[in-house]
Amino acid sequence: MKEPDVQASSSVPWHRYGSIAYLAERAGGRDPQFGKTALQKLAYLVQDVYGVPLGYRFSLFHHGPYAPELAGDLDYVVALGGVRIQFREDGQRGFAIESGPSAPDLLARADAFIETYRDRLGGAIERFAGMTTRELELRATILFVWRQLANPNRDVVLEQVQRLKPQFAAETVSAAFDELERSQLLRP
Amino acid sequence: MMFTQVYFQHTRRAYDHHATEALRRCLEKVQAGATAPSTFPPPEGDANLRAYLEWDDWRVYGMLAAGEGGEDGAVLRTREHDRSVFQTVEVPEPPDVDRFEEVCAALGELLSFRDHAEKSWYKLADEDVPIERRIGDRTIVTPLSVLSSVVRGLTPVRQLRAYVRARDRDRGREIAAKFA
Repeated sequence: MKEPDVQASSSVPWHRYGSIAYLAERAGGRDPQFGKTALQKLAYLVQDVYGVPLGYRFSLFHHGPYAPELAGDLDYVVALGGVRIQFREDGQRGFAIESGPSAPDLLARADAFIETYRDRLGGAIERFAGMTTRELELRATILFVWRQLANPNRDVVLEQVQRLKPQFAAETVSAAFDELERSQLLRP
Repeated sequence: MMFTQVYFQHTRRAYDHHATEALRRCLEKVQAGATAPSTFPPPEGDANLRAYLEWDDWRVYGMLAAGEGGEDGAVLRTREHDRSVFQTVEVPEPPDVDRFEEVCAALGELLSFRDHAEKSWYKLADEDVPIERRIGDRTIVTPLSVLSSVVRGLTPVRQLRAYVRARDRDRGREIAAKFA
């Protein structure tokens, strides 16, 4: 099915900036902390697994799928006041992303896009936003590896993910794989 | 700064655009009928690799000299590059972008291309630069952007520019001036 063309005809990708503000609004300011790495993984899931055409190109980095353009967009959205980022020295440590004072303006500029994909965005947020960054990292990596393979199967994916992520116990990887399979997210 | 004064310098960006479009035209001319005629042959198989290696400077220069690079190829030969007639500030706010759109609309057919500075100029890797610090008995890792006000102050350049052909420069500037 052809996706509706709801991306702004503007010179700037408001649909991306608005989506970052939307994810921060829905997933930020809660526990577990929603940081930069979590945003990268959630955006990957939103785009490549839930089919929201944000227009990023994700590659596999240290902590799973990562798009440099998203990191740049996040910086710009921070500069516009669409989100706020604070570094926390206590508790979970790391950057925490929260909605910013200009979020309503960015959301309004991406309104048609967000409205069109609200269900998909909501589905990804509902399933994944309550996870820790490590849990997101593992699941996003499993999905990334699955989708990269021409003929993926459980054994090959588990072996590749285990090699990429030796810090995760084999049972943890296996359990995450089964969970994604039950959720019917392991598809081409 | 390096990014705005070198990589995103307005004339350099014009030539980036002309070189890209002229090369695209040359590729399309040679690879007409291919699946993706405007890109280099994909790195799959010996035939494609040989075809790719044939795209050397001599071939491209020869095509440009023979007038096969289209209008942008002619610009490269004559050095009559497109001119920037309007630009936003380096980190444009939404109203700045709105004004830019108005200028582009007013330029209409005079507008040859819009340029976007979309690359973040500081963060090139997955994470910030990690700095290890000892505080008492503890060793902690803190991102450079937290410790350095200079790095923290670097905001991504998202400047937008509107270009017109060299022959339309005066008329383009006149139109853009109404929005300054």
